[in-house]
Amino acid sequence: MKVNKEEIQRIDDYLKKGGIKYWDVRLEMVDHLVSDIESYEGSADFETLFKQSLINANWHNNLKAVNTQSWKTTNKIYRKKHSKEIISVIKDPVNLLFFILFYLGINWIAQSFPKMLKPLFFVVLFLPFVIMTYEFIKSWLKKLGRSVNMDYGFFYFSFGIFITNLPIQLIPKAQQSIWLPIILTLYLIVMFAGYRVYKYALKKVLIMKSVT
Amino acid sequence: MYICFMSNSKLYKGSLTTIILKLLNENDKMYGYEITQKVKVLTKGELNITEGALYPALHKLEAEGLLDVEVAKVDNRLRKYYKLTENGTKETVNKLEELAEYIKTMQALVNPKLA
Repeated sequence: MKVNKEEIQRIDDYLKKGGIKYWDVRLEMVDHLVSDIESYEGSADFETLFKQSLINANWHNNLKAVNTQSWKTTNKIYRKKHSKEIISVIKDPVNLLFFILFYLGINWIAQSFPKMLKPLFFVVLFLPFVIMTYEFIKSWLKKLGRSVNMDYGFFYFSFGIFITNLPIQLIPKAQQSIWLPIILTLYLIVMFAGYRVYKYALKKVLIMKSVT
Repeated sequence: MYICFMSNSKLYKGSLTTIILKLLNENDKMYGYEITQKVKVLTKGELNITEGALYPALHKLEAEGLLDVEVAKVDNRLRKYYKLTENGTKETVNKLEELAEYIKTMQALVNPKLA
Protein backbone atom coordinates (compact mmCIF):
# COMPACT_ATOMS: atom_id res chain seq x y z
CA MET A 1 0.00 0.00 0.00
CA LYS A 2 1.35 3.43 -0.97
CA VAL A 3 1.29 6.01 1.81
CA ASN A 4 0.42 9.58 0.78
CA LYS A 5 1.68 12.92 2.12
CA GLU A 6 -1.31 13.46 4.45
CA GLU A 7 -0.92 9.99 5.93
CA ILE A 8 2.79 10.60 6.52
CA GLN A 9 1.86 13.81 8.33
CA ARG A 10 -0.70 11.86 10.37
CA ILE A 11 2.06 9.42 11.47
CA ASP A 12 4.37 12.29 12.39
CA ASP A 13 1.61 14.03 14.38
CA TYR A 14 0.77 10.80 16.17
CA LEU A 15 4.40 10.30 17.21
CA LYS A 16 4.68 13.93 18.30
CA LYS A 17 1.50 13.77 20.40
CA GLY A 18 2.60 10.42 21.81
CA GLY A 19 5.73 12.02 23.27
CA ILE A 20 8.46 11.93 20.60
CA LYS A 21 9.47 15.56 21.00
CA TYR A 22 12.47 15.61 18.68
CA TRP A 23 11.98 15.82 14.91
CA ASP A 24 15.34 14.15 14.24
CA VAL A 25 14.15 11.11 16.22
CA ARG A 26 10.74 11.08 14.50
CA LEU A 27 12.38 11.29 11.05
CA GLU A 28 13.69 7.72 11.20
CA MET A 29 10.62 6.42 13.03
CA VAL A 30 8.29 7.82 10.34
CA ASP A 31 10.36 6.26 7.56
CA HIS A 32 10.42 2.95 9.43
CA LEU A 33 6.64 2.87 9.93
CA VAL A 34 5.87 4.00 6.36
CA SER A 35 8.26 1.39 4.94
CA ASP A 36 6.49 -1.27 7.01
CA ILE A 37 3.03 -0.13 5.87
CA GLU A 38 4.17 0.01 2.23
CA SER A 39 5.59 -3.51 2.43
CA TYR A 40 2.02 -4.76 2.83
CA GLU A 41 0.56 -5.72 -0.53
CA GLY A 42 -3.02 -6.49 0.56
CA SER A 43 -6.04 -4.19 0.55
CA ALA A 44 -6.28 -3.18 4.23
CA ASP A 45 -6.95 0.46 5.11
CA PHE A 46 -4.26 2.88 6.29
CA GLU A 47 -5.34 3.08 9.95
CA THR A 48 -5.29 -0.71 10.38
CA LEU A 49 -1.86 -1.00 8.79
CA PHE A 50 -0.55 1.96 10.78
CA LYS A 51 -1.63 0.34 14.06
CA GLN A 52 -0.06 -2.94 12.96
CA SER A 53 3.20 -1.24 12.02
CA LEU A 54 3.35 0.37 15.48
CA ILE A 55 2.89 -3.08 17.05
CA ASN A 56 5.54 -4.60 14.74
CA ALA A 57 8.04 -1.95 15.84
CA ASN A 58 6.98 -2.29 19.49
CA TRP A 59 6.06 1.40 19.55
CA HIS A 60 2.33 0.93 20.12
CA ASN A 61 2.10 1.81 23.81
CA ASN A 62 5.46 3.17 24.89
CA LEU A 63 6.27 6.26 22.85
CA LYS A 64 7.28 8.24 25.93
CA ALA A 65 9.71 5.48 26.84
CA VAL A 66 11.06 5.53 23.28
CA ASN A 67 11.60 9.29 23.60
CA THR A 68 13.36 8.87 26.95
CA GLN A 69 15.49 6.07 25.53
CA SER A 70 16.42 8.21 22.52
CA TRP A 71 17.72 11.13 24.60
CA LYS A 72 19.49 8.79 26.99
CA THR A 73 21.26 7.10 24.06
CA THR A 74 22.09 10.45 22.47
CA ASN A 75 23.45 11.75 25.76
CA LYS A 76 25.66 8.66 26.08
CA ILE A 77 26.94 9.13 22.51
CA TYR A 78 27.66 12.84 23.01
CA ARG A 79 29.26 12.31 26.42
CA LYS A 80 31.63 9.79 24.87
CA LYS A 81 32.29 12.14 21.96
CA HIS A 82 33.06 14.98 24.36
CA SER A 83 35.56 12.85 26.30
CA LYS A 84 37.18 11.75 23.02
CA GLU A 85 37.37 15.37 21.84
CA ILE A 86 39.12 16.41 25.07
CA ILE A 87 41.75 13.72 24.47
CA SER A 88 42.05 14.67 20.81
CA VAL A 89 42.48 18.38 21.71
CA ILE A 90 45.29 17.54 24.13
CA LYS A 91 46.93 15.11 21.69
CA ASP A 92 47.19 17.76 18.96
CA PRO A 93 50.71 19.26 19.30
CA VAL A 94 49.62 22.73 18.17
CA ASN A 95 46.74 22.83 20.65
CA LEU A 96 48.92 21.42 23.39
CA LEU A 97 51.53 24.09 22.81
CA PHE A 98 48.83 26.76 22.87
CA PHE A 99 47.41 25.53 26.18
CA ILE A 100 50.87 25.22 27.76
CA LEU A 101 51.71 28.78 26.69
CA PHE A 102 48.31 29.95 27.90
CA TYR A 103 48.88 28.34 31.30
CA LEU A 104 52.41 29.77 31.58
CA GLY A 105 51.12 33.22 30.59
CA ILE A 106 48.30 33.23 33.11
CA ASN A 107 50.59 31.82 35.76
CA TRP A 108 53.11 34.60 35.11
CA ILE A 109 50.37 37.24 35.38
CA ALA A 110 49.11 35.60 38.60
CA GLN A 111 52.55 35.78 40.17
CA SER A 112 53.66 39.17 38.77
CA PHE A 113 50.39 41.13 38.70
CA PRO A 114 48.02 39.39 41.17
CA LYS A 115 45.47 42.23 40.92
CA MET A 116 45.01 41.54 37.22
CA LEU A 117 44.18 37.87 37.77
CA LYS A 118 40.51 38.29 38.66
CA PRO A 119 39.55 40.60 35.72
CA LEU A 120 41.53 38.35 33.38
CA PHE A 121 39.81 35.31 34.84
CA PHE A 122 36.39 36.77 34.05
CA VAL A 123 37.39 37.70 30.50
CA VAL A 124 38.59 34.16 29.76
CA LEU A 125 35.54 32.69 31.46
CA PHE A 126 33.17 34.98 29.60
CA LEU A 127 34.62 34.70 26.07
CA PRO A 128 33.40 31.14 25.32
CA PHE A 129 30.07 32.15 26.82
CA VAL A 130 29.80 34.98 24.26
CA ILE A 131 30.64 32.55 21.42
CA MET A 132 28.05 30.12 22.79
CA THR A 133 25.34 32.80 22.91
CA TYR A 134 26.23 33.86 19.37
CA GLU A 135 26.01 30.25 18.13
CA PHE A 136 22.72 29.76 19.99
CA ILE A 137 21.16 32.82 18.34
CA LYS A 138 22.54 31.76 14.94
CA SER A 139 21.03 28.28 15.20
CA TRP A 140 17.77 29.70 16.56
CA LEU A 141 17.52 31.97 13.51
CA LYS A 142 18.02 28.94 11.27
CA LYS A 143 14.84 27.49 12.81
CA LEU A 144 16.27 24.06 13.40
CA GLY A 145 13.37 23.02 15.62
CA ARG A 146 13.48 20.75 18.66
CA SER A 147 16.38 18.47 17.87
CA VAL A 148 17.93 15.93 20.24
CA ASN A 149 21.30 16.46 18.52
CA MET A 150 21.18 20.23 19.02
CA ASP A 151 20.08 19.86 22.66
CA TYR A 152 23.09 17.70 23.48
CA GLY A 153 25.40 19.69 21.23
CA PHE A 154 24.60 22.77 23.31
CA PHE A 155 24.68 20.87 26.58
CA TYR A 156 28.24 19.68 26.02
CA PHE A 157 29.24 23.08 24.66
CA SER A 158 28.23 24.60 27.99
CA PHE A 159 29.55 21.67 30.05
CA GLY A 160 32.79 23.52 30.87
CA ILE A 161 30.86 26.27 32.63
CA PHE A 162 29.09 23.78 34.92
CA ILE A 163 32.14 21.78 35.87
CA THR A 164 34.34 24.83 36.44
CA ASN A 165 31.83 26.51 38.71
CA LEU A 166 32.28 24.22 41.72
CA PRO A 167 36.10 24.11 42.02
CA ILE A 168 36.26 27.91 41.66
CA GLN A 169 34.03 28.34 44.71
CA LEU A 170 36.08 25.88 46.75
CA ILE A 171 39.48 27.50 46.22
CA PRO A 172 40.77 29.28 49.36
CA LYS A 173 41.60 32.92 48.61
CA ALA A 174 45.26 32.47 49.50
CA GLN A 175 45.67 29.75 46.87
CA GLN A 176 43.83 31.48 44.02
CA SER A 177 47.03 32.45 42.20
CA ILE A 178 48.04 28.77 42.07
CA TRP A 179 44.71 27.18 41.18
CA LEU A 180 43.05 29.73 38.91
CA PRO A 181 45.60 29.36 36.05
CA ILE A 182 45.16 25.56 36.20
CA ILE A 183 41.35 25.76 36.29
CA LEU A 184 41.26 28.34 33.50
CA THR A 185 43.44 26.17 31.24
CA LEU A 186 41.29 23.09 31.91
CA TYR A 187 38.16 25.17 31.35
CA LEU A 188 39.41 26.29 27.93
CA ILE A 189 40.27 22.69 26.95
CA VAL A 190 36.80 21.44 27.99
CA MET A 191 35.07 24.36 26.25
CA PHE A 192 37.06 23.86 23.05
CA ALA A 193 36.15 20.16 23.02
CA GLY A 194 32.52 21.14 23.71
CA TYR A 195 32.61 23.56 20.79
CA ARG A 196 33.77 20.73 18.49
CA VAL A 197 30.96 18.49 19.77
CA TYR A 198 28.47 21.29 19.11
CA LYS A 199 29.82 21.74 15.56
CA TYR A 200 29.43 17.99 15.00
CA ALA A 201 25.78 18.16 16.16
CA LEU A 202 25.09 21.21 14.00
CA LYS A 203 26.61 19.54 10.93
CA LYS A 204 24.45 16.46 11.50
CA VAL A 205 21.28 18.52 11.82
CA LEU A 206 22.09 20.71 8.82
CA ILE A 207 22.60 17.58 6.65
CA MET A 208 19.12 16.41 7.63
CA LYS A 209 17.58 19.87 7.21
CA SER A 210 19.19 20.43 3.81
CA VAL A 211 16.94 17.82 2.23
CA THR A 212 13.64 19.14 3.64
CA MET B 1 15.24 -5.48 24.95
CA TYR B 2 18.30 -5.87 22.81
CA ILE B 3 17.83 -8.21 19.88
CA CYS B 4 14.89 -10.52 19.63
CA PHE B 5 15.62 -14.07 18.58
CA MET B 6 13.48 -17.09 18.00
CA SER B 7 16.09 -19.23 19.79
CA ASN B 8 18.57 -18.35 22.55
CA SER B 9 19.06 -14.57 22.51
CA LYS B 10 21.97 -14.63 24.99
CA LEU B 11 24.15 -16.39 22.43
CA TYR B 12 23.68 -13.59 19.92
CA LYS B 13 24.09 -10.60 22.25
CA GLY B 14 27.04 -8.45 21.39
CA SER B 15 27.01 -9.35 17.70
CA LEU B 16 24.66 -6.58 16.58
CA THR B 17 27.49 -4.24 15.57
CA THR B 18 29.15 -6.97 13.52
CA ILE B 19 25.85 -7.80 11.80
CA ILE B 20 25.28 -4.15 10.85
CA LEU B 21 28.84 -3.64 9.62
CA LYS B 22 28.78 -6.87 7.61
CA LEU B 23 25.50 -5.94 5.91
CA LEU B 24 26.74 -2.47 5.05
CA ASN B 25 29.94 -3.96 3.73
CA GLU B 26 27.91 -6.02 1.27
CA ASN B 27 25.56 -3.19 0.32
CA ASP B 28 26.59 0.29 -0.69
CA LYS B 29 24.09 1.97 1.67
CA MET B 30 21.13 0.85 3.72
CA TYR B 31 18.37 2.38 5.86
CA GLY B 32 17.09 1.14 9.21
CA TYR B 33 14.00 -0.76 8.09
CA GLU B 34 15.95 -2.35 5.24
CA ILE B 35 18.53 -3.70 7.71
CA THR B 36 15.85 -5.30 9.92
CA GLN B 37 14.20 -6.94 6.90
CA LYS B 38 17.47 -8.14 5.41
CA VAL B 39 18.44 -9.80 8.70
CA LYS B 40 15.01 -11.44 8.91
CA VAL B 41 15.31 -12.82 5.37
CA LEU B 42 18.92 -13.99 5.71
CA THR B 43 18.21 -15.83 8.97
CA LYS B 44 14.80 -17.12 7.78
CA GLY B 45 13.07 -15.26 10.60
CA GLU B 46 15.33 -16.74 13.28
CA LEU B 47 16.83 -13.38 14.16
CA ASN B 48 14.76 -10.25 14.55
CA ILE B 49 16.57 -7.02 15.36
CA THR B 50 14.34 -4.76 17.42
CA GLU B 51 14.05 -1.11 16.47
CA GLY B 52 14.97 -0.15 20.04
CA ALA B 53 18.35 -1.79 19.54
CA LEU B 54 19.04 -1.05 15.90
CA TYR B 55 18.78 2.75 15.81
CA PRO B 56 20.91 3.43 18.93
CA ALA B 57 23.53 1.04 17.51
CA LEU B 58 23.52 2.86 14.16
CA HIS B 59 23.84 6.25 15.87
CA LYS B 60 26.70 4.97 18.02
CA LEU B 61 28.58 3.65 14.98
CA GLU B 62 27.98 6.98 13.24
CA ALA B 63 29.37 8.93 16.21
CA GLU B 64 32.42 6.65 16.27
CA GLY B 65 33.08 7.58 12.66
CA LEU B 66 32.45 4.09 11.32
CA LEU B 67 29.32 5.07 9.42
CA ASP B 68 28.41 8.01 7.26
CA VAL B 69 24.88 9.32 6.88
CA GLU B 70 23.16 10.42 3.73
CA VAL B 71 19.65 11.87 3.87
CA ALA B 72 17.39 11.58 0.84
CA LYS B 73 13.81 12.46 0.10
CA VAL B 74 11.88 9.31 -0.75
CA ASP B 75 8.16 9.55 -1.59
CA ASN B 76 7.27 12.58 0.57
CA ARG B 77 9.41 11.55 3.52
CA LEU B 78 13.03 11.73 4.56
CA ARG B 79 15.20 8.65 4.72
CA LYS B 80 18.53 8.26 6.48
CA TYR B 81 20.92 5.98 4.63
CA TYR B 82 23.94 4.58 6.39
CA LYS B 83 27.16 3.60 4.65
CA LEU B 84 30.59 2.51 5.81
CA THR B 85 33.40 5.01 6.11
CA GLU B 86 36.98 4.00 5.40
CA ASN B 87 37.46 3.30 9.12
CA GLY B 88 34.19 1.39 9.12
CA THR B 89 35.44 -0.92 6.36
CA LYS B 90 38.62 -1.61 8.34
CA GLU B 91 36.61 -2.21 11.51
CA THR B 92 34.33 -4.67 9.65
CA VAL B 93 37.37 -6.80 8.77
CA ASN B 94 38.50 -6.73 12.43
CA LYS B 95 35.04 -7.57 13.75
CA LEU B 96 34.60 -10.47 11.32
CA GLU B 97 38.02 -11.86 12.23
CA GLU B 98 37.12 -11.56 15.92
CA LEU B 99 33.84 -13.39 15.29
CA ALA B 100 35.52 -16.16 13.26
CA GLU B 101 38.05 -16.63 16.05
CA TYR B 102 35.25 -16.76 18.61
CA ILE B 103 33.34 -19.40 16.60
CA LYS B 104 36.53 -21.45 16.19
CA THR B 105 37.22 -21.33 19.93
CA MET B 106 33.65 -22.24 20.80
CA GLN B 107 33.72 -25.10 18.35
CA ALA B 108 36.93 -26.42 19.91
CA LEU B 109 35.26 -26.30 23.30
CA VAL B 110 31.83 -27.64 22.43
CA ASN B 111 32.63 -30.01 19.60
CA PRO B 112 36.35 -30.85 19.54
CA LYS B 113 35.94 -33.37 16.68
CA LEU B 114 34.61 -30.68 14.27
CA ALA B 115 37.28 -28.19 15.22
